[in-house]
Amino acid sequence: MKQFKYLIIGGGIAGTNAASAIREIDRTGSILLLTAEKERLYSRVLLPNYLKGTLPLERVFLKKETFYEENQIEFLNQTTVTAVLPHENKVETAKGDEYGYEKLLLTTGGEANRLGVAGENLDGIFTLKTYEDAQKISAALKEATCGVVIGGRFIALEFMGSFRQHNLKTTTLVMEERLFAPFLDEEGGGLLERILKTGGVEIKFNEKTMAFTGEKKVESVQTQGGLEQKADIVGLGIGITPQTNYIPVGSGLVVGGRIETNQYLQTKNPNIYAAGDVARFWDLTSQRYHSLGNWANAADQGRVAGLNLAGANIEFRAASTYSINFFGTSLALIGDTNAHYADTIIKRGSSQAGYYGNLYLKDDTLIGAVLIGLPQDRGPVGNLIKNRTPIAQIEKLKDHKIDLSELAND
Amino acid sequence: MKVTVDRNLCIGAASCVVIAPKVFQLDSEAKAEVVDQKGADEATILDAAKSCPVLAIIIEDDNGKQIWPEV
Repeated sequence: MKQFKYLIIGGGIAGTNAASAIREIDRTGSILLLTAEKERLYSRVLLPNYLKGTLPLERVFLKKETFYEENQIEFLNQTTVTAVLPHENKVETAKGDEYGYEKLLLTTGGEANRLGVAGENLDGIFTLKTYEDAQKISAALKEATCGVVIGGRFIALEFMGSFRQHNLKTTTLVMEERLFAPFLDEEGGGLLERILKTGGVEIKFNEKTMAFTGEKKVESVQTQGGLEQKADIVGLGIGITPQTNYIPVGSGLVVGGRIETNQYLQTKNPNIYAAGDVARFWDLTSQRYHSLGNWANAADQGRVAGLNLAGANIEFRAASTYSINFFGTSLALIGDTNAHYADTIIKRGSSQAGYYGNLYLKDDTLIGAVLIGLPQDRGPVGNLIKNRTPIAQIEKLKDHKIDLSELAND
Repeated sequence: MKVTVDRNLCIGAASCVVIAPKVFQLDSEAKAEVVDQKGADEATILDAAKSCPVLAIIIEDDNGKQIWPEV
């Protein structure tokens, strides 16, 4: 069995940033980076640009091929870990190999959800998470004329944008009663709906998909309400499920479907850390366990985890941002956007005018925000959340003309 | 050192704004723009560029050689 000082499972931004961070402290300790995918690090965030035809696929790579060797990182692609054995400090792979570690970092992210309904394996039905997904969708888009998107949040929006860019007749089936539920209120959801309609997308709410029909290739989508929607391409944008199935059930590492860590991103096993989408970390900003499924968070956490793996003792603290540009406007989720944890929600701006936000506060402090078309607010909102700046005149937040940076400590 | 932003790539994730707020701000279209080339030290600006999920921040040294993204 090969032995490594540092073993990282997952070659996305969290795992790769962690490897780089280790090298800032420890120039020689052996690092093994395992990834299930074939490609070296690429930007998942850039895949929609490729689908829209604004970027060649080779531009999505974030590291040169020589990166791993130059940094003495042993990189094994197409390697799926089937088990972690915490008591023996080793992991097992699907290929039947075993690797020992002193410190282990889990950055396995999540798997794109599928519906689990009849006909879902027909050709033409796609999720969008990996390089390989993007290649397949791109090829299918060339033939398609009529698309159905299932879902009402970020990845669904990316599908809608790509479909319309290729002039597909596009219909979106949303399971909930509005877009971006529960992150946006009715007014915000309504604004998004208007923007998408203007962009040529037909949206149907409260539609639960029950089956796909077709011979070899998908031909229609059938819903519980009896709708039969014609489609020659379907985009599933219905979230992810964190990948934890390789962790033994009795280990206690997995809580609520994710790997639980303290503010140092360390699990209850002192040799094992977790970062990115798969982690459920003690969030110092919101003072609760929290998980975030976005790039910026994965990048930041990967770096902190890597430094801590190599002996640093750094608390993770961040205001996370997730944003998207679509149909001429933008949408951003910043910080904690779960209305359940806020005691006050402020509506900022005006949906009539095309810019609108929900600001989430707790104890007169901003904890999160959802912003549609209010780009100038993003930086100041991030600072207000991160610094936990008390806000004296909450009423002022309603007026989008008031510069939030005046309320922020620089 | 010279910093530029490729507006076609920028998605307004604002990670650069968080790391170097005196250098980068989002403009009216939610795209990052450089407001002050010397608003932070070079290491901070490089960190900000590296944090960009879409590699939209380009940094050249004083001789015009691109140092980020690595080519």
